[in-house]
Amino acid sequence: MSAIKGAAAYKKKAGMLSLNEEVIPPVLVWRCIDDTVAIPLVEVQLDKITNLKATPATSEKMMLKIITNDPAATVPATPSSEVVFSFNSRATMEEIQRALQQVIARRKASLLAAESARELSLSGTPVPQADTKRSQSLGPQSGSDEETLATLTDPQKLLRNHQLQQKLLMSNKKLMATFKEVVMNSGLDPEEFWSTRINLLRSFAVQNNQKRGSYNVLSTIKPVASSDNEVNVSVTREKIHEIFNQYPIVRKAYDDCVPKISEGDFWSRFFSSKLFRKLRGEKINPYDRGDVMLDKYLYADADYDGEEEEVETSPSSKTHPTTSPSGSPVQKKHKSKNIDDIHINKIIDVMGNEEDNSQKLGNAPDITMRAGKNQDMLSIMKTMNRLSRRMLKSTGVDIEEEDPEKEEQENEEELELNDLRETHETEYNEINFKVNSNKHSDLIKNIPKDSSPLNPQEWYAEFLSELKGYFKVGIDLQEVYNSDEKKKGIREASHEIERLVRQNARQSSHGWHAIKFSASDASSLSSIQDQSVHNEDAEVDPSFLGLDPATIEQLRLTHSTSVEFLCHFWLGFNESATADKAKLVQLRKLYLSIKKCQDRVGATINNIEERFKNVKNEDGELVVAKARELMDPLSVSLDRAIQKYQLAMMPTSGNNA
Amino acid sequence: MDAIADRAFENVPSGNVLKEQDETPSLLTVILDLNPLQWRSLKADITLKDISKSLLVMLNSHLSLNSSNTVAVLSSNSYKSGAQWIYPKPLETDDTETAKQRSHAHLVNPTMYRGFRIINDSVLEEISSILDMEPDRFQDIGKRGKDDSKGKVKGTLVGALSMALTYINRVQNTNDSTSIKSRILIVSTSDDLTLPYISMMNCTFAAQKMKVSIDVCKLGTDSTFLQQACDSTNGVYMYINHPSGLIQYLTTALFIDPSLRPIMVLPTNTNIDFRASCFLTSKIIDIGFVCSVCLCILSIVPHDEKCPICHSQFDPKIVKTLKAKPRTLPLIRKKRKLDSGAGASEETDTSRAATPAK
Repeated sequence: MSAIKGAAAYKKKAGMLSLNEEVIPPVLVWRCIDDTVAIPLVEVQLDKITNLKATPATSEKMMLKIITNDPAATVPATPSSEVVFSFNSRATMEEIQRALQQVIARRKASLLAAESARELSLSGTPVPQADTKRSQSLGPQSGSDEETLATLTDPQKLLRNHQLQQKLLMSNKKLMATFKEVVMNSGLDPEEFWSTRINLLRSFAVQNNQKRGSYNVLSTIKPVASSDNEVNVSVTREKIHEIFNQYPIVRKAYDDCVPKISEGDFWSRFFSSKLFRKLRGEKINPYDRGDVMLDKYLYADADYDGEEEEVETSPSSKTHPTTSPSGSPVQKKHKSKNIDDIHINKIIDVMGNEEDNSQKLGNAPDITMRAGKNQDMLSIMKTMNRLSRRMLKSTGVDIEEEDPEKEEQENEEELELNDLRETHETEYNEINFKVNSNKHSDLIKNIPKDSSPLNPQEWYAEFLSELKGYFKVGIDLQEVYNSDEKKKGIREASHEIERLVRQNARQSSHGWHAIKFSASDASSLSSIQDQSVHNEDAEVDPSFLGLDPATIEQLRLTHSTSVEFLCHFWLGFNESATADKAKLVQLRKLYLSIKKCQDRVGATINNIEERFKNVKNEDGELVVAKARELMDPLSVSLDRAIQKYQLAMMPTSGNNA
Repeated sequence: MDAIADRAFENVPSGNVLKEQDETPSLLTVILDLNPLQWRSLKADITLKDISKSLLVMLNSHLSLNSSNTVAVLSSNSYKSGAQWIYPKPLETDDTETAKQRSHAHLVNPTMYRGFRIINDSVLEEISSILDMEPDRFQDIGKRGKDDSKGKVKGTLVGALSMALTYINRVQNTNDSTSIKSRILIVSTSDDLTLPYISMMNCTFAAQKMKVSIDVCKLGTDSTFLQQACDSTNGVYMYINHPSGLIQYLTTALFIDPSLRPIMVLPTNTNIDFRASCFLTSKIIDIGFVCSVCLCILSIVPHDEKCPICHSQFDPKIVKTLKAKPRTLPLIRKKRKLDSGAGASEETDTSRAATPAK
């Protein structure tokens, strides 16, 4: 299959044309059938070909003209340094034409590479591959690779790692805004800021340190067909490295071939070869030409692991013979560590016999067990499995060595019958409750104060007799709605209920429920998930309470900075009994900042008021009122903090600031 | 009735919801607060008579919606009898005389539909008999045979609530063929001080688990515990601002069938005060201490450093840190630029900072 053959006529003599790529340089040979002719053999060295001309598909004649560079190469020498073959069948001609084109293209490319290599070698830069493009690296990320998890998450280190903090700020806009406002504008200590956010730093550090695992590189390499019958494939050094890691066969082929042919040539051959397709897991088209040299490795031991032992050549040895192009007689035995190679006697092979149960899937054996059929599918499956096994091994995850003793113990434990054993009762801790909850619910003590006269003893008896008289007389249920007064009350009540419903409906439309119910069944789940995922980054709903986004943003900023300060203030305040002087100084600083926060809140509200003075009266006032309402809880908490601090200050200093 | 402009219904994903739940019968349980003193204070707005009438109309309408609907009525907070069943009356060894007497009393219109009439009559009679048992004189309140509680009467709303819940549980478990949904309506006039917090929360959680919604029709003063109960059981808390239109409240806002609750926007009060009350002092607090063993809420550190409920000993060191008063440094007074700015603020921090930490 590696040699293309076809019937062709040269100078009106019939013969066989064959393309021999095993020789280096590759050669096109035409052998005349008729031995009596003067010119028995025509050889054209393919590396000397410059031009290829073929008759167009529409014409009757089918001829192929090959023009070579070096007139001395052809035998016999023709003055025009061109050879013309005529064909009987168009298919043959096209096949040969295609093959020649490939060779030419390859040669041209390698020429280019050689030239550029000559140019660049002077400057000392590494030679780019024939068709390479710089692309992203696959391998592990550079950086602090050697850090273990413990060192990564040490809070002290995190606090000091300014680089990491910068990175985190860059990636999280909201945090950046808060940081700017709080640390740079309002003077909070950056260490304080980060001290409450250690969990963010930790997760970010771990996230950054994660490496991407290895994956099947070959699936990422996609040949792109370009003009001129060329196929471009982009590979980088890293990808090549990965290929060698994942497919030791390719490495072996490389080691064997590259001294003879150039690297560029090797790779271009590889990517057009059947070996490439097989490793990728694609079905091998039997009509595809593939590559002479590299396809030898199709039949090599696919489980080849990269390790070899050289064994004395003996024809009776059971090793797989591989014929390397160099034709060395040394036969190499491949050592493989796979499970399947441990030989188990079929009689005692329980697992194997279980699997071999032909009754599992009807009478026919499993598709993987049928002889002769499904070869392609099987080979693909085997390739994939092999690759996965290798990749998993290369991740370096420790799979515990199965300690045979331990394993046996586990098996024994599994076999034991536990049903008749005594069950362990879970022991609970008893908590003795003293129920005194009803001590404080007293009906009498809590007489409402508005009952007049104050002394209940006077009116009690009278009232009670009235009560008792209620139900001795018949009642008319129609009185419930009959009188005018009742009707008025009913109307008012219905208005109030409507108002409540309207209010609740509006509130719920701003909330989470609206999203839950507004989507259809299928997408409702996803929308809920989206909502929860994007919660942190969610943009504020522009129509939120009727305020415009700018105002909202301003309020939000004030709010978050004040909350930040409050947080640190309380942390310090609650520990102040046992704190040292430095912390107390810090606490005082925070107290002053809190006062400033309060001023800031007032200033923001005033600002909004100013802005909306021009707007129509109602709207403007509404906006201001809403803003005030929003900021109200914040002011309450700021006030409280200030109060508490001042209270604590009282006994020490007679004069407050 | 003008149409409600905003949506009163939330969009339902797809049509199955209504089909299943059309025919489910429901049980309405009413708990009526009979605290005489409270009713006295509300006399201007509404009397017990009015509310009983409205309640009866509501019961009748509930019964008329579905032939398998049932009702139950309890009383609470009465001085003598505490929490009592009004309807259905538990079977007792009744004197035949009183039974005969009762069957002859026609308190409602005799021409009323019989099904309603029976229930209405029996409810009214029972309330009447409970009221009859109340002490006539103020001094007599709280005196039972033994003189243990001097003038003190416990609030029994929660007791009635637990009785209602157990009844509902029984009804739901015995009706295997039909699944019956239940809800509770509390008509309350008393405020939070009569409610024991722990028991109230226990009942609320039980109702939550049983998927029974608690509605509250509140007269008098607002109650935070009842608000919390409504909120966690998906019920409606209604404070009655217009008592003369009580029937409107009862038949619209507080009348929502359990099967409709997921769909409708409930006209409930959404500004809920979620504060809890301390287990020791029963003050309502928002910041406090929590025992890590039994999760009880305390507003102060107990003197004996033991949890009052589970008697677990607290760690003395931690108690010390909790009790310690916060220390502060005095503020720096910015002196004017009379003296040189450098020496202005270095003052006697060191001397004053040493406040004794207890």
